[in-house]
Amino acid sequence: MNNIINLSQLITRLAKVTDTDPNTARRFLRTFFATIEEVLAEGETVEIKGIGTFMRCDDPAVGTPGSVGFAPADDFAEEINRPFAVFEAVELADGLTAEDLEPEITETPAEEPEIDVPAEITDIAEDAETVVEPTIPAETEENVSATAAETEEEHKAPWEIYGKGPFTIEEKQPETISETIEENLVEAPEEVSAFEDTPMEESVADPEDNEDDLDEEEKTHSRTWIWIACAILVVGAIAGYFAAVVSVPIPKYGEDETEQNEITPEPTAESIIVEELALPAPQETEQTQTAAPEPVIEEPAPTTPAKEPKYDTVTSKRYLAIMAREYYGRSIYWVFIYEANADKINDPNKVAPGTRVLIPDKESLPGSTDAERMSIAEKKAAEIQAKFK
Amino acid sequence: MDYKTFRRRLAEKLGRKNSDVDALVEGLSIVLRQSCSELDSIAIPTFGTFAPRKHAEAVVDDLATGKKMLVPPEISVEFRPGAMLTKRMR
Repeated sequence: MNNIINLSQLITRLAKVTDTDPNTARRFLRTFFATIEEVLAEGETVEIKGIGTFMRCDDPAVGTPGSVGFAPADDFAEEINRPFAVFEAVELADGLTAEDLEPEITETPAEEPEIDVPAEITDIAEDAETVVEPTIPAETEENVSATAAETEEEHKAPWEIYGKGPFTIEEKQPETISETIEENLVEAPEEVSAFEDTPMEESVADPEDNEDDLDEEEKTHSRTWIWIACAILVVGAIAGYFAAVVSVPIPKYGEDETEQNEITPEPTAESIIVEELALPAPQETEQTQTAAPEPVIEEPAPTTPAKEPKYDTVTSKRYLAIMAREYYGRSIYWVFIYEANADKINDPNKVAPGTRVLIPDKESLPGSTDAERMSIAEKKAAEIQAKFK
Repeated sequence: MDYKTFRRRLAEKLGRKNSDVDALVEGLSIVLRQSCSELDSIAIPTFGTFAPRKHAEAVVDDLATGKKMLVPPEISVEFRPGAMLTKRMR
């Protein structure tokens, strides 16, 4: 507001509004105003649509000879005065002058406390138009017309006539609000006292309300902390119990003490028999001379139980290239995933979300070195892309 | 000079079509309106300044009825020609 926009700022704004580059806007503006200047120099008047009319003033009676006048276009003037379009010219009552209006705007904050404002305002508080009344001189009141509506209108300040506006109503509203707040404050103690009785009866009978409130707050705070501390202790105890349970080795046969005692310190006949039966069993099944744990390990050695095939599911955010990058470190290796699932996937660019694809093992990928694998992947990718273009 | 003649002359100088010139003129009109609505002046070097002015509400005498009227506020746009323009006009 009240800023001066220079040519460069005008160029920037024009370029933004017309969606052109600044050079075009600059060239246009310079040519535009130069052309207007030429036309005016030729002695003609030029009318610009949407802006206004530039005319040359040669009549000394109208203005300075040689000066240039500008009359904005109707739509231009309407546009810039749109905020005031809701307002209309209002006929004032006889005898009411601008002086009568101006003091009401500026002096009412000082005058109101002096004059019997509270009484008058409370009387007419419902209408919310009483601020102006005390300041109207008696002579104008006498000359006011008979109807109540006219009298109210006449005593209204301009912002009250126009309603809410951008200029003055904001200044006035706080005063009326403050007055109503003052009224409410007067009544408040009575209402507070009415409510005080019931809670006081229930709470501890202390003479001062503030101290009771503080004590209660302190008590609630302390209770809250106590509960928190208890909860922490309980959680810590449970966590400690689980930690102790996990750290203790669980024997394989289920009962801890009895079977351990049987096996280690005093091997009874039954335990010996159990051991003898247990030891050869793995040997007989696997037919190896190694210790019991070793044949157990050797069974999973042939990859089938340990290296299970990996599967993954295609989603809108997780497609073949993402999977390839995650599993193989290179997104171009998606071609290998595609080949492994050629029965399920036709076009690699259009894999339906929810499709479960097999992720081949990295060691099973073609190529011995990474570079060789890359070249193979790139060739296959080109072939596949060409096929589905 | 009417707008069509002015537009044709401007289009010839710019080497553009009339529709392009219309769009640019309309854009300039929008920028001027926005600025004047916010009471910002626009200064064109060697040409002049478009200065909006706000007139507050005022009590005026209606010459027809002889009664006093309270007119609402208004924004008017004044054009102050630059020195170069004035000199050329003279």
